[in-house]
Amino acid sequence: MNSFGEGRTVCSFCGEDISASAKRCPYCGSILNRESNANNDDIKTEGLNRDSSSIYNSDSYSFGGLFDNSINTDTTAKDFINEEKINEKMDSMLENLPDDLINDKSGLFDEKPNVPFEEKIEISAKEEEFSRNSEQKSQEFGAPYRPVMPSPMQNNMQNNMRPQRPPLKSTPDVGAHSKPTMSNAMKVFITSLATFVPGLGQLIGVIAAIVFMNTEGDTDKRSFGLALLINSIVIFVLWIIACCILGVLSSEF
Amino acid sequence: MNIMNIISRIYFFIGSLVCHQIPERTIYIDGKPLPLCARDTGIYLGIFIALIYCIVRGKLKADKLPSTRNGILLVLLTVPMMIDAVSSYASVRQTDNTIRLVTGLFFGMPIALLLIPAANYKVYGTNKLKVIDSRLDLLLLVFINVFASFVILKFGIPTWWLLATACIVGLVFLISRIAYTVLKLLNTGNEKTRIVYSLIITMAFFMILYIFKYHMLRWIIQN
Repeated sequence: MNSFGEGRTVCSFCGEDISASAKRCPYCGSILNRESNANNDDIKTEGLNRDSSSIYNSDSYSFGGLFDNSINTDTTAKDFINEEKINEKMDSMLENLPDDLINDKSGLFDEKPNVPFEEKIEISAKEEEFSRNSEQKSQEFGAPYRPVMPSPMQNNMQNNMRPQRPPLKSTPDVGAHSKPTMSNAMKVFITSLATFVPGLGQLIGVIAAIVFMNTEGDTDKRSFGLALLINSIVIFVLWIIACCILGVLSSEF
Repeated sequence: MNIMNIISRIYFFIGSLVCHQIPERTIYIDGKPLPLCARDTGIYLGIFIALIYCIVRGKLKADKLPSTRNGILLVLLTVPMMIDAVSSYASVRQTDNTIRLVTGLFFGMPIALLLIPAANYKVYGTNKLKVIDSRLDLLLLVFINVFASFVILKFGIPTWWLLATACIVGLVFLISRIAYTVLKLLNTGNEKTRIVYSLIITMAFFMILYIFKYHMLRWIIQN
């Protein structure tokens, strides 16, 4: 047993001697020990399967946007890189936790025999309260509810394992980063029409822009509509000036 | 040479950059031609009227476009000028200064009414102040335009100075507002610097037009 109460095992990928609780082989980088990290993987997969990315606030976080697909159980460099990204986000999230939870390191490592049981119960209660507050905030955002996973402290108290990451809270969707509802091909077509077809093209461009800009909630369309409106008006004005120059030419000849 | 004469020459110079200034197609007030042709006078006067309307109604900070129906009606107001211009240039039919002025007014007004909220439009927020609240506002603007053209053509009530200044202000507003909107879209500078930059861009635009018209175009015609 090492200082964390862990045994030794052999990496099933490279055969090196490693810690039994290691999630990733320090020699070959393979993801290991999936069963003991099942909750953690669920958390990640839940966040990763989302198409849209998410915002972070003081009590909610997500890993959405890091992967295009769910976690691949094969050992890849992608897993390794993303694991590091997740750890970074974990650190930033932990900074926003209450001070008493941060200062108490017992929840992050092995169970310490010198911490009284009553104190652990109190900390656990604080964590539960923290989770409830987070849940309420997430419901205010109108985000889908996700069941709260057991807290790190609760996990530690149940077994003598390395604790799981803090639970994933709901993440409100941000329209700005949501999946575009309009294809790029359509955007190119409308923009080309509004640019190169004199008169009629600009009319269609302005009407399409008004329709898009009046769309509620779809920021992709609204953003494109604004750009299209300005483009159409600029081309309109340039055409007028061009026609006047043609008038100059006709008067000169 | 007095100050009024200098201003008059500046007006004619700016007008010559964007307009052909053909005398037959120009409106005369008190025997003096306006710095722009009848159609351009209508366009920039329409922009000026819409600008005044927005100032009076407190819509200069409007961030919401008209509703889709009103917006389409607004855009359709530009169609008569396009038909008139294309048909007359193609020698399909004859047109006169009255039609040029009226259709120009209806062309210029929607451009200003769309440009004003475009600069203040928030993609990621809620836009509340509509530039046109209802169809009644649209009808009011149409009436103002018709009335303005009637007064100009039949009675000649506005002086040459008033009309010429309104047209030049409309022209400068159009170019600077487009520049301002693009700068805002690019998130460049703050409110005050954007106004200064947009005016500089407007002057640069006139300079480019001057080089193009008085140097390049002359060279093209001579060769």
